[in-house]
Amino acid sequence: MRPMLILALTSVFVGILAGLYAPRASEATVFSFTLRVHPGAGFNLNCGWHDGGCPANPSTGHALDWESQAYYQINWKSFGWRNFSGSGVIARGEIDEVLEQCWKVKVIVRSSIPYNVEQGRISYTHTDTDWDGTTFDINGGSSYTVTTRMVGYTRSTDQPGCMDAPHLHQVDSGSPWARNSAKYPTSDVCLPGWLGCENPHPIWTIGYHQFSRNWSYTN
Amino acid sequence: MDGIRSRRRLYWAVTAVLALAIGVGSFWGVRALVGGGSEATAERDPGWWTTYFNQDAQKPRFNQEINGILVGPGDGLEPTSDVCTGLTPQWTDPEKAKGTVVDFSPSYLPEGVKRAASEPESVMECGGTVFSVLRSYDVPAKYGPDVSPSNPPEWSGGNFSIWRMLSDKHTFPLLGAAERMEPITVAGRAAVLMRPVMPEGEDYGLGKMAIVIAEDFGLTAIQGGGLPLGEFIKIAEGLYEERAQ
Repeated sequence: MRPMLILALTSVFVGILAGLYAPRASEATVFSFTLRVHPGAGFNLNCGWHDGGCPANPSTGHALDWESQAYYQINWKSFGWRNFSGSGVIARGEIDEVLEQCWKVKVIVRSSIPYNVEQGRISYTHTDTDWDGTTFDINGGSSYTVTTRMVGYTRSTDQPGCMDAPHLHQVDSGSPWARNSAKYPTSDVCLPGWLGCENPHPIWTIGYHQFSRNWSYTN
Repeated sequence: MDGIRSRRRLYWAVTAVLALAIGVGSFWGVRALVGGGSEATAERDPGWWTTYFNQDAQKPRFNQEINGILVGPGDGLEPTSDVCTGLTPQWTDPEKAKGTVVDFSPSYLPEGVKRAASEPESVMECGGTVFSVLRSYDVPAKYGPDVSPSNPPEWSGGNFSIWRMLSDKHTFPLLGAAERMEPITVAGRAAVLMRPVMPEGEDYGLGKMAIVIAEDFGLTAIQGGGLPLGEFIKIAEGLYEERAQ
């Protein structure tokens, strides 16, 4: 029995050593994602790229103003892509309403991979919501996969100095969001209330997103 | 003789198979223990934390006075200042805020936190009097290489704002569940804390928190997420300390 015991103990010893020190096969996997966020109100563009009130700080701005009537619904609309097969939840959106001089509904985007890390946010200014503090799934797939979710509605009034007439001021949280300057111009100004002011864009067609965002994670 | 020999061969064969099994078992056992096999790790459901949000969303919200500050979801809690009576507030040059009571300079910001790129400094005036300064800050995410539901980030990353304003009344709209509001003191000043949705120990920046501080001239509000609550309290305290040179 003694040789068998010695052999067994040796096997355990060699197994443990090998387990600790033997090189592992390379398992690095790169997960890549793209999220394209579309305008969330009416299809008439009221004001091209700007910061603050339209038309201040043109061209450098991150916001577009979209037509909306008081109490009209404001939607999160996105197309998500991932570099692996199938489709699923690539991020979660958290809806937060805050008063920061003007009223805003923010959707904070947190990725599934890497887990629960903020990938930026989209703010819907002059907007109210019944879903403050709730979350929703943002989908993605190996072909672009849509997510539509009502996140609020346009206010009839905002704080003094914030809004002349009901509309949506939709803005990103800066780099690394990319503005879709190819589809939406800087110079367009067609403010709400202007007689015959129509400046339509096919906002729900693929390619007509307002912002896009890429991220990746190596595991 | 042949019977003994074949029994011995069988004995060694069984021994060798057993030794191999023990060796392989030890190898994979150790691999799993030191993290070589991800399937050995019990993972939480990726959406486990949303349960807290969904439960919180069902909880009552109402106006309440805490530390002399009226907070809640009701209409009319927006701060107002008599300097704007009969006037329309205007956005103005941020330089005009310098030296006013509503200007601020945080002496403490966590590492990596910086002014938000897309939300410009927002300064408002009425009739030449600056009554409101708002600045937004971006919080980078902080996480290890094996971040997962069971090993969440240290900071989720996100954004918060600091807003200081003249106000004739100590009222401020906070939209969280009423039970998350509580009194707090910031640098000797009465304040209201709106705790984040996530409980202590699970708080790494998910959800929105707020600290509203009563000032002699109005209010200071810090609102946002991306950091654990303790960091926000340090940021609030740092608004009343001299900036390190």
